Amino acid sequence: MGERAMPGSAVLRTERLSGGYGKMVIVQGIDFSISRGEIVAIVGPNGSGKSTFLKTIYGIARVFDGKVLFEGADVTHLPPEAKTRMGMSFVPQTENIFPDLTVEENLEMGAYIIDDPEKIRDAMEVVFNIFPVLKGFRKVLAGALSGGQRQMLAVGRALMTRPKLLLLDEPTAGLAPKIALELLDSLKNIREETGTPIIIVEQHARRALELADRGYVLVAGRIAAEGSGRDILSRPDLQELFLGVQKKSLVEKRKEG
Amino acid sequence: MEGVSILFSQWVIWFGVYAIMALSFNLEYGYGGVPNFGKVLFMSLGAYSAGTLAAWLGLQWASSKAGIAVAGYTGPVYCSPEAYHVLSTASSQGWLEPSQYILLFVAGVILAAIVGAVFGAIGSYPTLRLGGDFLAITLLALGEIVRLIAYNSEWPVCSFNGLTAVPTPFAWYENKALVDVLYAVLIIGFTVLFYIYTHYVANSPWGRALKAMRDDELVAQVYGYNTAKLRLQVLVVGSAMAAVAGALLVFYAGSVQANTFKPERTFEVIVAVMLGGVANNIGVLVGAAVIAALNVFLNASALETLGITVPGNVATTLPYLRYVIMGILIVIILLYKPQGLIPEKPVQTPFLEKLRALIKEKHVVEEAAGTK
Amino acid sequence: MVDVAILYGILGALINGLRVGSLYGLMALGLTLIYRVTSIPNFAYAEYITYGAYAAYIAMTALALKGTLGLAFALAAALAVAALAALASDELAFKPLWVRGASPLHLLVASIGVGLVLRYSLLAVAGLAAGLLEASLPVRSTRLISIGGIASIETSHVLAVSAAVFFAVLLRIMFTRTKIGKAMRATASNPVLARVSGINIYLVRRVTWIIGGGLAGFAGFVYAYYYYVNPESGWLMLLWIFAAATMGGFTFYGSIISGLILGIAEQVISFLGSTYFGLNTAYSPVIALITLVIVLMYRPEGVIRLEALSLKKRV
Ligand SMILES: Nc1ncnc2c1ncn2[C@@H]1O[C@H](COP(=O)(O)OP(=O)(O)OP(=O)(O)O)[C@@H](O)[C@H]1O
Ligand SMILES: [Mg+2]
Repeated sequence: MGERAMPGSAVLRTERLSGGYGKMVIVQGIDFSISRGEIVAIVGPNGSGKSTFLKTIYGIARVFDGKVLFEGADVTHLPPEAKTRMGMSFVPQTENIFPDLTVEENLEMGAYIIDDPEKIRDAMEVVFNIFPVLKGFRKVLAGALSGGQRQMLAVGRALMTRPKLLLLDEPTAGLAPKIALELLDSLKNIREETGTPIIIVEQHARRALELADRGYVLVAGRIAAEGSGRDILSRPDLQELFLGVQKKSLVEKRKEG
Repeated sequence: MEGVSILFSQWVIWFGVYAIMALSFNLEYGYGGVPNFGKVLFMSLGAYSAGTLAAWLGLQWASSKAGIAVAGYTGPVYCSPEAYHVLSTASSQGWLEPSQYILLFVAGVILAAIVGAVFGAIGSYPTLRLGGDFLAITLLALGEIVRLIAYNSEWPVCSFNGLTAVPTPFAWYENKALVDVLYAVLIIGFTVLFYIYTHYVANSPWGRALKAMRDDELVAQVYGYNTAKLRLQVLVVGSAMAAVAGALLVFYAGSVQANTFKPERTFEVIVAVMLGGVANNIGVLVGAAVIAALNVFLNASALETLGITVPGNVATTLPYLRYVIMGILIVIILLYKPQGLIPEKPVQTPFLEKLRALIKEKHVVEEAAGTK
Repeated sequence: MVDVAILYGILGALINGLRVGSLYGLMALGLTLIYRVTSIPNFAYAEYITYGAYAAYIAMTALALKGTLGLAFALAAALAVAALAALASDELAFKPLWVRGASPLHLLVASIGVGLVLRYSLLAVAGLAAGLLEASLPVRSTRLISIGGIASIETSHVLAVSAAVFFAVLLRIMFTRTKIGKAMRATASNPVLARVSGINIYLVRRVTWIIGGGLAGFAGFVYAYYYYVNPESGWLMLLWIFAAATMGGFTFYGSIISGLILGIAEQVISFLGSTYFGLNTAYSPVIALITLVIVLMYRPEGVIRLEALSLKKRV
């Protein structure tokens, strides 16, 4: 279970991870793993705890129990800045840009942990190649961008460090279908070229699972199903999920089980 | 023994002043969410109007009775040395009747309430444009403007000297030791009245509207509350109360000084409310008692009276210590009990409400009976 | 007929307005920096200035220092003490409150509390020691150029004006060109994302308080070089400082220019007021207060901003 990748080759692994806010436990006992070169999708209805799971991994939400292992090291209680320094990178679902900084400065902040200006410039060029629109807005305050442009900037910022692991929380939200597909394509390219594993949370479950090597279905804070993207897509009991219908029966099934 | 009694009367009197101030701040901020950091502005306006009215009118009465002409002074006539002489000897000379003293007090308090209400209405104008910290700073600055002008100009209260011979309501009473006790009883009366009023208001539909506005202005508007009007109303009421507190302070001290109304006074009121718990009226009384105690007891002569002697250098630092303690209290409360030491209680149905319901019920029954 | 003495008087008021105005501007710089990064309308800021001034005074008198070297040492003491006071107030009060999600109003109240502690403990101590209730550096500001025997330009004028301009430019460069400055703005703009980007926001915060406090200390030093300091000096200037910072829209250049306008207005208006209308010069703080009220009410985003950087919308 979840150990399809060879043990030890997992870039990131969580063991019985529980997380939430204040005293509220939102996600519970999650066993998750992602290996080099993999794209793993996390899908589930609204409010099922997908974002919370990513935030718990990154140390933004509170960890109640369990472990987070990154490249074999226990990083459960490291603060987010330390995780970034270790090579992780995260695009939150909301508030994922610095509105009071220019587009260029946003990208520079993405590369905050890099000291070599040459490297920063190169990384910025890479981002501008993926999102050419941003180039024209270099000196514009990010708060003045459109929703879709912000989303591009948010992803661009996370790519600046050439991370060893990317966590993306609904990166395509608000993007025009064509741009969304382009973004997903470029994620694939990044994976092809650098082998960077990517965890992606997507509202559009079918699209995500078609793209991903593997997927996890999160329902009410727990993993309801996992497996290869195709397997999940073909499971008859999960069909409603892909149609965007809140799958009540899943919750009930879990309660019964 | 007499010293101790005077000290405790003093404490009770200051308690009353702070309690009324704190109840009004609680109404404005605790219930209405309006951070009126210019409390001292409305308090000072009440003090100035009550003090000047009592001094001016008292002077007219006393000087005509005594046959002394007090005119020809460049500033307000009650600031002249003759005025001081006449007013300070009026009771011993019998130039003013006891009834006149009481009348001056009543008139002063009423005028203060009116002035406070009017300026509260004016002072609500910034709340239309601002909220939060910027509103707090604006109101604080307005208070400082008035204090600076009052401190430097003969109008209204004789510049930095202050107005020092305001006729006090019990000046005619021979037993001076009992005067403070009488006044303490009087001020407790006022405090109780205001307490009942705020308690009643807090659980009234108006109070609920205020809380709705405090919790979410937009939602309150959606529910049909006119939040601009609510803020105007709460500032009118709160400022009238603060002005009355100012007047009561003047009629106790027999003097008005502009520097009594430094921003620190507002901070004391804020601490009282924080100590007691925002939107908690009983708690606020406790907070006022603590602040009053710091004010009255934390100095060398008071401690001496209580039988505690302090060395000279401690004595010089004691008055400052009061504000150091307040500052520490502010930070600690914010850190550990941001809702105050005694948190807000859910809306309850107090006996007054029940009484009102009972009366209403009876009324309805009678009405029904009448129409039959 | 305007007589010559009055012209000289106006000139003198202008020159002194330049000095006091740059001082207000200089003081507003640290307040602005702290406000921009932490959103705290910091009422305790005034006390860092006072502490800096006293540190300079005590360092010089206690060690019997003289001359320029003595002044340099006094400056170092002022910077260190003020920065420490600023840092301590954040670590002990503001940061823990911010972590708990305190609103700007709560932070304002907290800063009032911190200010009371700092100011009144200094008052208590100064009341005990002789000569501390009115202190000024033993090395005084000296006259450089005399104008008609009435007005003059002193070393303190040069120091105040050049320090104000220098630090404004320096801060502006720091904020827009350097990594730490951008990290400060990023932290202010979106602290969670700043952390996610690898920024140690607590370190950034510490640096902010040290620089902000240091600026207050520098201003306190300049103040004590010309004026007599008492434990309430900073507090009495606070509303001027707030007026300069808000009028400047919490930008660095804006603060300096607003400070200058306010300082010159203070001096010239009180000179003319006292000459022609016999007005008491003690009224002059009303100028700052009225400016503050009008700006906050009608232009809370500032009058002179000189920067396109957006501020979070208040109200
Ligand atoms: N900062 C927070 N504090 C408290 N509760 C939160 C917070 N953020 C989210 N929650 C709660 O946690 C639960 C899960 O939210 P989460 O954002 O993780 O869901 P999600 O699966 O990402 O949903 P969506 O698809 O809508 O993005 C929700 O019930 C939400 O109310
Ligand atoms: Mg989400």
